[in-house]
Amino acid sequence: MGASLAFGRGESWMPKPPAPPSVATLTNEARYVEWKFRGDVTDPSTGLAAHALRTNALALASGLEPKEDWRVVKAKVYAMLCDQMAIDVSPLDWYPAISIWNRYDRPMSAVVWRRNGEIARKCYPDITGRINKGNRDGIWRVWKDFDHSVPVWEDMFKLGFAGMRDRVDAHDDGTPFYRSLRITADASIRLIERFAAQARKRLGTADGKSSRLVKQIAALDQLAKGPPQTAYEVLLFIDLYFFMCEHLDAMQCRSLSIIDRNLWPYYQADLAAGRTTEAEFREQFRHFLWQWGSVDNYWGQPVTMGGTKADGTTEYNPLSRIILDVMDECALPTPKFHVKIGKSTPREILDKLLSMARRNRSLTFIGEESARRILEHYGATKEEARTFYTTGCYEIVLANGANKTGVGYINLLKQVEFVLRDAKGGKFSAADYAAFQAECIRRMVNVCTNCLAITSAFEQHLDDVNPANITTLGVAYAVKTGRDAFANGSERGNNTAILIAAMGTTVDALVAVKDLVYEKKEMSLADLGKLMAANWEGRDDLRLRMKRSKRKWGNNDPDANATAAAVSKALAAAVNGKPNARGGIYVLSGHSARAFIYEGAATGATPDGRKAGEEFSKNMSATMGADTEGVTALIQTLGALDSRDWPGDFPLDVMLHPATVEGDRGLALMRTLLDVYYANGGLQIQFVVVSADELRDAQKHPEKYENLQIRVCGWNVRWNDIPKAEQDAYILRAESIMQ
Amino acid sequence: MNRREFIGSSAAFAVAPLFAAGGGKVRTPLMLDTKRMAIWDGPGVRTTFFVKGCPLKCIWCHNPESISAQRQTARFQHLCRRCEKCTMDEATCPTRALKFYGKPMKIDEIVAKALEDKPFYDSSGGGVTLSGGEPLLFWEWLAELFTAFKKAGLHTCLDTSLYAPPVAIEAMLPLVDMWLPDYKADDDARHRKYTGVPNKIIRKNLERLVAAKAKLEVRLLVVPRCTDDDDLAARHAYLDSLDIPRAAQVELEYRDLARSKYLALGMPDTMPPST
Repeated sequence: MGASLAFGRGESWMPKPPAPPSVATLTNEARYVEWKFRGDVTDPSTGLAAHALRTNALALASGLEPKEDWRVVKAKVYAMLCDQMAIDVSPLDWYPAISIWNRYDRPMSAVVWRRNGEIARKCYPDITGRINKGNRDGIWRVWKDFDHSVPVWEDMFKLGFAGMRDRVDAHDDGTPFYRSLRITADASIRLIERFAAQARKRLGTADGKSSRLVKQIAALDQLAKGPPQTAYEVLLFIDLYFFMCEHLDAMQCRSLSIIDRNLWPYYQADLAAGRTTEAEFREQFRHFLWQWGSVDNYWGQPVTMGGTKADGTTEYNPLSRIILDVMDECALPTPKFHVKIGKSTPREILDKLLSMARRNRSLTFIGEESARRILEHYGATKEEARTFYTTGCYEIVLANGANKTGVGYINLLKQVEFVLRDAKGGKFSAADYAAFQAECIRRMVNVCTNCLAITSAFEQHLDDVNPANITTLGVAYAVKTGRDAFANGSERGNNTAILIAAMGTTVDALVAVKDLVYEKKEMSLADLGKLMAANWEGRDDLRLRMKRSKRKWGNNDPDANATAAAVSKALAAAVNGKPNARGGIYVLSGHSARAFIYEGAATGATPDGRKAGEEFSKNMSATMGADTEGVTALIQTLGALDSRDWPGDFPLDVMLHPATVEGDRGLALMRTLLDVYYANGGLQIQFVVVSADELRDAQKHPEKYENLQIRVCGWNVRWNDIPKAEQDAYILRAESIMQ
Repeated sequence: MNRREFIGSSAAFAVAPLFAAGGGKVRTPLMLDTKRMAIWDGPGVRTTFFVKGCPLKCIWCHNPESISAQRQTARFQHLCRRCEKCTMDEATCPTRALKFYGKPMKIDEIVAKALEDKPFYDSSGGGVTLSGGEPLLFWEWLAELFTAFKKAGLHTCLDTSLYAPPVAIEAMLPLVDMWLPDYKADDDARHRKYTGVPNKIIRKNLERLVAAKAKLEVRLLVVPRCTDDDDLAARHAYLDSLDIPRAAQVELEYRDLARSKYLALGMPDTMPPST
């Protein structure tokens, strides 16, 4: 299990980033902010660097573990990090710096990693082997997830750190649970006070001339004693809380709030009181985004925007436009913006967003009406469904039930491979296609059921491994009930997502068997199994014919759609609503992130014309190049499924040629695609606007394309940051799109 | 005026080549292609169907495969590996070097295909467009098809050279919601030189459309050194004289990007350079 911990896995496949420049050269704000989380920019006189903290953290945890509750041990390690970490507050920036800058080398991760091994050996010794075997065989990729917590931001903005500490005190019954929270809250406040003191020291050095430092000191002083009062203080609070969670406590904070809605009242009050100007806010917000731009998390940092008020009017406001302007100017792959789109969304905002999507800004469009249907189907009230949050790649969650996990990618296509392998060996035969399909689906369901059982075994122990102290501080229900917010303390349950990979290619493979074996009767199932085992050897003609068949997922083909609906219903019945080990339910999720590459590599040849090891379909989209009927057919295809069967997420990637989306007509086209997708029940849609020629040129001349971004799965990455194999996959995709 | 009556009329003389292969029965075209999510072939999101067969021979034609009304095989030389044994099968050619142009499609198949994207038309004010080739070459069939489109509640556009008998125009007037005619050259000699046919009947048909208050968007292809000089100004002046607003006179940039198709079809490449 250890090697698959989400927070420790690192992104080893990515090319190595360039070495950071010397701190002494970071003399202007752009350079400073760009590099502050790519190297240590802190003042060494204030404390220790990350490597020394790591040693201290491991030693402290070892010393305490035999005599203290693990939750308290972690809180004390956290407190040590808050007290001993080197820090800085620069006049070049609006937000503090910390020596634990590297999200792949966090002292707390080392502590938790070690603990994880101990818990696995003690509590579920037989599970690790089963997980690893499935991982090796390409059946699934399962891991323990600490990645998808979303704070109850609105509560926290009202309370601040001091208020959250007081809330703990109000419930404290002397148990380790509350002691750990109190230690965590106190340490967080001490850290804020350290930042304020460092800012004063820097201000002295600057002869009191930095207005940024003056405002930071005032804001830090306020946050050390109470809740944020201004828009900048809210931004600073989010920033501090995020880094306390992720970099110090090794718990991801997978949201930066519904940013425009939450900031708007503060910003209005600031302007009315003359406390800020639009220009100053723009600068503060630019720096805010750049914190995550500098961290450069491959998976992107989600920010939610917009929505609809209870009276049916839009949550988008004048600040939304400013925020989008700044986001557009920064052109960063991360933070990634999840924008809620509904009937109330102003046309001007929608056009601005679509126009930004044409420039490949990191945006995912989330349909409010579809989200409402899905969330209400699983018991949410109208109000809960209206105020949903987004997290992770682009999942929708309830504001008071947002601490979910995503534990594994199930490779559906592998089961088709296995059935054909059995047919080859005479262990399986089917008189008709219905029997063949039923067997494949039965095995897919079995894998899901096994995955649920395994997940329930290890998810009982999430807080034994990594108690979410700082996350828990922010959740009233968890504090009140004495439960860990991430493990099982969300008011509306802590759900677990099972992610499905290869949906599209699996459908293609099943329909191909129907075509070849049961309709045209060109070969027996056993012979097809042999041909697949031989990786189409000697039958390239047939392979090409199957590859180019129009009976594929994505072409709105009736057979493919019916097959997909059968698979979808069976998986939904096996997964959705089943209780997990954390007081929530399992939910089916349709995104496959990078699994379409690495699980594809572990999957043999399939009857749809795919050769062994080739990538398969991504998310709910079609197999690369299979959607020859174009985007309208692709969108209609998704309508064949009930998105309520995919409460985790239901994402569609649409790749468009730049010429297709030019000008007003292009914008109108994109609006239409959204309209129809949402009318069909679609939930998330993301656009990639790029031509194959451009990508080929970018591969050849990376230096010319430093700013080119490509959409992966709810997030953008820089083209130059992905390996050649993935670049090739995107070029192939772009080649298949129609102008 | 039906087909029989038309053939005996003076107008038939002007468009005699249209009927050379027609015989006495309604001609049904082979279909060349179907383009979904078309946004430049009329308002909104549309599906454009291309028919095979055109009475014009424009030297700049970027769809040379649409000129002949017969089925054609193309072999794209730059893709062809010259396999020892050619599959002669578009579906299994390993490099997609082989391409067959022209397949029959029944009217109900075309309508069914068009209806697949109806939600997109409804959302965008789009519909269906016929292009080619020259759809009016098959005007009786076209009238049947457009009647079926209208019955299905679809907005219709017709992309045409207007080189057609007036009876075809009359037949289509009630069925076409928007006409997308080309006006390739104002000077008749030049029109003959570059397209192989005179423009007299085209102008007459255009004038008829204007008189009938048909909704129009006239396309003016601008081919360097052929139709980009005073002829362009003359085309605009003529259209102005018909009170066709400038917004409905759309200049199209020419690109010589179809040379590989001429080669693949074994046709002489007549495309003038685009620069």
